[in-house]
Amino acid sequence: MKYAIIASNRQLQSIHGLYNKLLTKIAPEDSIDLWIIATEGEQFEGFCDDHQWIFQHVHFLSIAEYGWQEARLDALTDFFQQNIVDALFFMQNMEMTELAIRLSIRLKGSYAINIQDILLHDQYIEVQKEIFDGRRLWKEQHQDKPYCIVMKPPINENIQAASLSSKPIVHFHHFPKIASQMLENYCFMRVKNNQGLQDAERILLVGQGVGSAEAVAQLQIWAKQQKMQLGVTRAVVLNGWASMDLLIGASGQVVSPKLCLAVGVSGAAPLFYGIQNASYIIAINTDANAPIIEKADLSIIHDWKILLQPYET
Amino acid sequence: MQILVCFQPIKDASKLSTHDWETALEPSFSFLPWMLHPSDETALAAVLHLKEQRQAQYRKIHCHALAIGDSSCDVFLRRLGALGYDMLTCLEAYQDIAYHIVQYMKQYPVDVIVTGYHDDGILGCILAEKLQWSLLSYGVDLQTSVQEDALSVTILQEARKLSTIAAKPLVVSMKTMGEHDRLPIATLRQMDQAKHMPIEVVACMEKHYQTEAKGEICWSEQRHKILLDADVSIEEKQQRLWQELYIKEEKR
Repeated sequence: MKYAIIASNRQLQSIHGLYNKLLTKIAPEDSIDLWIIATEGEQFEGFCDDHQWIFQHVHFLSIAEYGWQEARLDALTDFFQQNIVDALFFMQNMEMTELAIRLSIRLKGSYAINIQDILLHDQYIEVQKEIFDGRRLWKEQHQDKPYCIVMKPPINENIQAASLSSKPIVHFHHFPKIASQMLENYCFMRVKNNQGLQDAERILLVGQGVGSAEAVAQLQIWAKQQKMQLGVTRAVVLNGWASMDLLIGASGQVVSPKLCLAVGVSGAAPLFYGIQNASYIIAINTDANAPIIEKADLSIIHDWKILLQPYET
Repeated sequence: MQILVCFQPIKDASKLSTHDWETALEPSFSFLPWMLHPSDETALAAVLHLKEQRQAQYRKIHCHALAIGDSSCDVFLRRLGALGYDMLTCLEAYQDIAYHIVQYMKQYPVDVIVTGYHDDGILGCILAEKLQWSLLSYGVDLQTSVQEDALSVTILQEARKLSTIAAKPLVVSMKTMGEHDRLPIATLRQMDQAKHMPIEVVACMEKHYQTEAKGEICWSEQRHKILLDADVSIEEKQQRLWQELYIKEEKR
């Protein structure tokens, strides 16, 4: 059977983890090719120096215009209609999710997104994903090939796959001019209200449980001293204690810091959606029954005012 | 310009107690309140904002709100009618929603479809493919364009915004970004006038599947957690907390 992994060039760091996971699921005679989706101007050689060769065939797809799925879709559809594969595995992000769904429709296959585990059978594929904030698992079977599966990055991304002795055969596909009929004009702009939450490694997340606007201001000072970025829940914004651009959650920003310290946060599902990619979540709350207590990696049932004291200057 | 906004009210699952989650494999959501998904609300509010802009320029625009669900959608549709939507429809479809929307659009053709970006934007993707229209995902703002047959859509790409002038027909999947993302509150007078607006109900009984995916729900292991007792001193708590962090970092 033939498989392909499709990833953008920014996702290559996580390729080994996904590849290793797939290796345990497929038969030894099966093959996996890698497709790298890039924009014109991004170099292929640049990232391959540090990259172990684990694929026999690497396809480098370079598109002239920035980020237009239409061009990528046309190119991938053309290729996979002629070169039939059994399954396409996409590394999860927004662009890849869209690509997977639309490509599955064009190739008359099936799609599944946010998948954590798979089981490949001859006639069908069984996929598994977490739902309801990880409280339940959902398993489903798909029969229509090719299966377009959007995989969540494996937890241990540093696993190194055994490299092949021979170098891969690299295929370059370049599309310098595409017919993007829908676009008449476009320009990039800086995101005005980005407070650095997207890139922050450590975030202090403040919820309504802290009690007042003064408490939020106090925690903001503490966060600054600890070199943390402040984020807030929807309830804090609705109370007028903080501005909208600090909002984290389904209706705000989705962040992926290394450490998220949640203070006075109940842990409702829309909020948890915003911090679920955090590597480590610490919750401080006086309510032992708050949902965040169970979801966090480390929970402290105590008053934050005693634990988080700003330095006196 | 004819704009169709598709939205689907959802149950507020965050209101469900921990006890309910622990006891039943499939907890009952029936008693939970309905709410608008924040992305849907953004889509609805952005189109209202666009309508105001176009009306200020004396240009025609027809806004059509399409709710997917049952009679529980009426309260949201009435509110939208009060706020300025010209046509209200309730599409009673529970599976293969995109197919039924496409079928419905054969009666009422539109130029632009706007949806909320939830469930990873599945609805927008399928609509775009079924209609063979262009798709702009992660839209955060809609503005009028100088060209009559185009729309200015601001989309989010990674950490920056991209302002586009997109020609219709077009599907836009809107994501909440904090700008024009809440629907205004309708006045009593507006609500009173909207009482008499007709709501078209379309029942979709037809099933349209190639192969139905079989699925089942199972219990899941919760995330790893450490719960500290209230009896432990604060110093000890702090020490244990940093120890845990240190061990975790070391393991990495």
